[in-house]
Amino acid sequence: MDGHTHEDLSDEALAREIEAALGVDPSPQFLPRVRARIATERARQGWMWSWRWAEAVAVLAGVGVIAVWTLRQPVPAPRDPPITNASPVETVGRSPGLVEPSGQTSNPGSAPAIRTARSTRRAVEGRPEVMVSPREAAALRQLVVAIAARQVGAVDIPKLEGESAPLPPLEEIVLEPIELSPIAGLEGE
Amino acid sequence: MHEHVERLAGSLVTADRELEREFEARLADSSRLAFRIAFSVLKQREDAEDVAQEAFAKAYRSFNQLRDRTRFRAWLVRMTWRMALDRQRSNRRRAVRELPGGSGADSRAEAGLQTRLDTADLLTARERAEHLWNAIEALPDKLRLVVVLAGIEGHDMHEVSALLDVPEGTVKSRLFLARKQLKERLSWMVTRTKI
Repeated sequence: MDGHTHEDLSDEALAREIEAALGVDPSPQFLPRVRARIATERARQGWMWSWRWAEAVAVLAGVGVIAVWTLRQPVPAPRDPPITNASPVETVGRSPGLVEPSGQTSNPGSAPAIRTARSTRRAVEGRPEVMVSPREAAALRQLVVAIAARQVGAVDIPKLEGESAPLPPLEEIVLEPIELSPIAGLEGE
Repeated sequence: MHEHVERLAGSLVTADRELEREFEARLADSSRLAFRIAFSVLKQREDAEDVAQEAFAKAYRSFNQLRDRTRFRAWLVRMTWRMALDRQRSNRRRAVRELPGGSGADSRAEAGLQTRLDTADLLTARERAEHLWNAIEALPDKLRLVVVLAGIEGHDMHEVSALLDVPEGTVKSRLFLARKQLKERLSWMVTRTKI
């Protein structure tokens, strides 16, 4: 810069040129702006710390609630095995909600409970669960309820015969007499 | 118990204030250095001030984690340098970087020289400054940083090596290589301009 060309630059001259090029000062507003920025940063840090405390408290409260809820829950019952097709023997032999193996008539109101207990027992025994059509089960339950309420009695059942279709007249069965002829070869004996 | 808590809170506040005071002292001491480093990369006063400001904000956020506070300047130099390079890359990507023509390197050259040079000299100085900046920019990052630090605030080899955390011998060899490349590039540019 001092009248020299770049070709004959010495180290010192080059250093002087670089120093001159870099000898730039920031504007007078620079330092106040940086201080203001730092003040903003300080305020933000305080705000962030307060939020962090709030977050930590919220997380701890959540963990506590979950722990209490988990401890209070009862031990879950063993789950039913997957439903399989009922064997024909089981379906025919037992009608749900009617008669228990012990011979006692079940209470219709407690049918689901009985079913659950039975399912659990079957699950424990490893046998397949009996599947009954819901409509059939409902009809049977209604019948049991009606019998229990004496709306339908055992004596009413013969009445139902009259309502059924007339039977065809009975025909007499005629049996022709059987004649047995003696065997000829045996007469001489 | 209550006294203990009060004493603890009081000592925390005192430590906090001491930290603030120390940072303020570092800020006053290193603000020009940070700005010039950013300027050496960006060649735009506004951009350089923005980057230096961000560097100080970042330094403030991590100041209490800095174990050796005497290393603050070296830490700030590296941080500002990296941030300035990042800004330069993003400026280039956006392709909105202003070419010299009243700002940047030229405005810097004008600011220092306008008072003592007439118009013809000013034009020559502008052209030479542009060549110099182009040559500095063409240097590899490691060499460029050594040249810049050696050209700022009269840093000697020892100070540059402390700022960069590299041995003095490395600084010396990098400075030698950088000056050599600068001379070659500037000679080539002048020759080309003459042709």
